[in-house]
Formats: sequence, structure tokens, C-alpha cells
Amino acid sequence: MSILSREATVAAPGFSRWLVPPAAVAVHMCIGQVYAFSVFNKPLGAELGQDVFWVNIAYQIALAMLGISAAVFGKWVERSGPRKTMLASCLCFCGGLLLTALGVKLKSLWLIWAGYGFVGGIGLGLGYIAPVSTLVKWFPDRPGMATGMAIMGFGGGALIGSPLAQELMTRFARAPDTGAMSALMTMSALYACFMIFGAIIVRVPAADWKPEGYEPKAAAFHGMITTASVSVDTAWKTPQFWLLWTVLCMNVSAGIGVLGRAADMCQDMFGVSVAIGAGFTGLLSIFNMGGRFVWSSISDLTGRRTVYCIYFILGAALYALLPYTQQTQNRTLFVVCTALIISMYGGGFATIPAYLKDMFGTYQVGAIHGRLITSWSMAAVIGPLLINGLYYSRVEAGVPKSEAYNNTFYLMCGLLAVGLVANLLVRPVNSKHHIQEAPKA
Amino acid sequence: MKAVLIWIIVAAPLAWGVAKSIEKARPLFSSPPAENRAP
Repeated sequence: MSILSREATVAAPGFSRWLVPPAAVAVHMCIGQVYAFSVFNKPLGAELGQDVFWVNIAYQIALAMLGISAAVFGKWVERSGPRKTMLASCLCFCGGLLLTALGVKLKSLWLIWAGYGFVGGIGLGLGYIAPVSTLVKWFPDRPGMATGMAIMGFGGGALIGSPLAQELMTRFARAPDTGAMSALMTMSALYACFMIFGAIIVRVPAADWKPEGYEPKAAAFHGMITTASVSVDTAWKTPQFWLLWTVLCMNVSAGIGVLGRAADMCQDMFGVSVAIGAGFTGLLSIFNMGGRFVWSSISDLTGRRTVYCIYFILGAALYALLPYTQQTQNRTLFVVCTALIISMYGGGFATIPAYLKDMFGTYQVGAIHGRLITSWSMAAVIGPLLINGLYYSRVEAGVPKSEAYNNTFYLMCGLLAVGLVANLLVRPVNSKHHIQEAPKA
Repeated sequence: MKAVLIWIIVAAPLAWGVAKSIEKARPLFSSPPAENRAP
């Protein structure tokens, strides 16, 4: 039996389940660095003599590979267990950073695309879904809180990755060297330490383990929580899977509406300085991270469908209020509204694994989650296209910049309305899809 | 004790990241709007 196998990670009796979330957070806060890749755009562009646009393609490839690898390797992840997957994720992600550093040394844009985008992107997908089914099995009584904790780590990864890269580049910079190569290598080593630490401490529960006093209740939340299991190959053919795919896609697309242009939006709508625009982005990052834990924990109390209804209804109402904040120049109200919107954007990411567990059971929930997050990749592409397209068309039509966002906000309301309808259509999975006896995974 | 140590190892970088973001967000609250309007 290899120390990497699933069997080797089965927890001994008396093991505290509260030691598992830190393992998940350790991995997620490293791979969450992808959100902070933009900090390397200018230094890499300068090192390679390339436009920032071409450097940023690496980020887009990485996000696309995140969805693709999570979908493709989901079943392997379930079979192999979290330790092997976390190590594979570490090899790919940290290896990708090293290849990027080599790309800087060799002045090869292709190597950066292949290293950070392709190889690193596979690491992102593996690392993102690795702890999901483990956490859901450890916390069947509070799956929202448990997965929310891990996915909060992913949001936190951006908060760490950006200042860390900046500080390292400042230390290593010796003109004309921007310090990017040394910073990437250092980050690779630091992240490898944390990811290996996560892989070492992670444990899966024994097959017959359950929390003390816990009894599964299928009738909870109007029968929206199943005690049965659905395999990944069946799950993705059910309407529930595609409704939840739509729910996540709309939630993410709408969130990107604010997040992608936060600094510009604040400056255009309120005429504030660049520093304040950057400060606004920093504040949103904190709410993006905190919302992941808070909202997904709330979903354990309210039920998943209810909490998504809150995201969509409250989110649309807040978006509809944003033009008013601009008209009245009420900056405080604008910050409060957008912070709440972004907290629900993060909450949407964090609540979806628990929603999948409610619908399809715990058997292959990590693999099902892997296939579902292709909607994130899709939203990451169509969201900014829609938002930027609409904004620039308004500016070209002669609308003042301060008012050019209004239609974008109303479009976001529309996307959230589509998500709300999809969410309201979700019903328990037909029992014909249930597997008769789930193998002990 | 082991659990506390494990949580500290994981929480410390996150706390550092949050502190950096709060530092970055400070101008949003500290400067009066009129002084920060772009020309």
C-alpha cells in the first residue's frame, strides 16, 4: 500500500475532523494565486518585449484548463483520494510556475503559456476539486460550512498572491531584470511547502464513520437533500446537473460584472483617484473571500435553494440600485451594495459543492463538481465579453462614462433572473438515477 | 495543541493577505471625496 493511496489516508478512530479543513485551505490558498496573475503582466511583458495582452493569455489558458482538467480527471480524483491528487496538483501548479520562470529566462512566451496556462492550469483543476468530496464526507451535517472554508482559501489566494509577488519582485529586481523570474521560483517553492503540508495532514473518514449523533434526514428542506447516490456518468445527464450548471454560470457572470472592472468603475462613476479605485478592489477581495465562508455556512441552516434565491433576488435588487448611487453620488451606498454583491458571488462558488451533495449524494460529488465547474470557465469567457462589449458600445454611442455602466447593471439583473428561474426549477433527482448500492469510495 | 498549530500555519498567510488588502483599501475610507476627484 502506497502512502499516497486512498487507503493510507483513512483516519484512525478518534481523529478530529477539524484537522481536515486546514489541509483543504492550504491547497486552495496556493492555487488561488491564479486570481493574482495580473501582477505579473507588466513585468513579464517587459522581460519578453511583448504586449501585456499576449502575456495575459496564460491566465486565460489556466482558467480554461481549470475547468477542463476538473471535468476530465474528476473520476481519477475520486479513485485516487485526496493525498495523491493534492500532490499531483502541487507538481503541476508549482511545476507550472517553474516553467514560467524558465520561460522568462529563455524569453519564450510559448513556454509561459504552456507552463503557467496548460501545466499550471491542470494543477488548478486537480487542486480545486481534490478536497471537496473528502470534506463533504467528513461534514455531512455541515457540508456548506466545510466546503465554504476550503473555497474561501481560494479567494484568499488572491489576497496573498498579489502582495507576495510584488514584495518578491521588489526584493529581486536589478535593472533591467524585473525580478519576476526569481519571484516565480520563490513562490513555487513556498507554495510547494504548503501544498505538501496539506497532502500530509489530509485524511479520509472510514467507510462507516459518521459524526456523533448524526442521522441523515432525507426529508430535510422539502426533500431537497438525498440520502441516495448518483454516479458522475449519470448525474451529468440529469436536468438537475444542467440547472445547477446554469445557476453557477449566471452567478459567476454577474459577479464578474463588478469584479472585472471594479477599479475603473469606481473612478468613472465617482471621479475618485486611482488609489481609491485600487482600495475599492482590495475591499471587494476581502468580501469575495469572507462571503465564501459566511454564505455557504448560512446555506446549512436555510437550505441550498433558499440561499441561491437570496443571491439572485438580493443581487438583482442591489444591481438595480447601483445607477441610483451614481446619480446621488452616494459612494458609501455604492461600496455597501457592491461588497454585498461580491460576497454573494463568492458564496455562489462555495455553496455549489454542498448543493451537488444534496442532489447527487456523496459518492462521486467531487467528480460531479469537476464537470460542473466548466460553467465557471464558460462564464469567465462570456462574462467579460458581454460586460466590456456593452460598456464600450455605450461609450461609443456618446453616453458619459459615469452613466455607461447603467445598462451593464441591468444586464446583470437579467443574468441573475435567469439564474433564479434555473434555481427554482431544481427538484430532487428521480430515484431511477440512484445507484442501488454506492461502492465505498 | 497539534490542531491549534496546524490552524495557525494555515491561517497566518491568510491573515497577512487580509491585512495587506485592508492597507490597500484604507484610502477608500480615509480621504474626503472632494480631494480625490480626478481632474
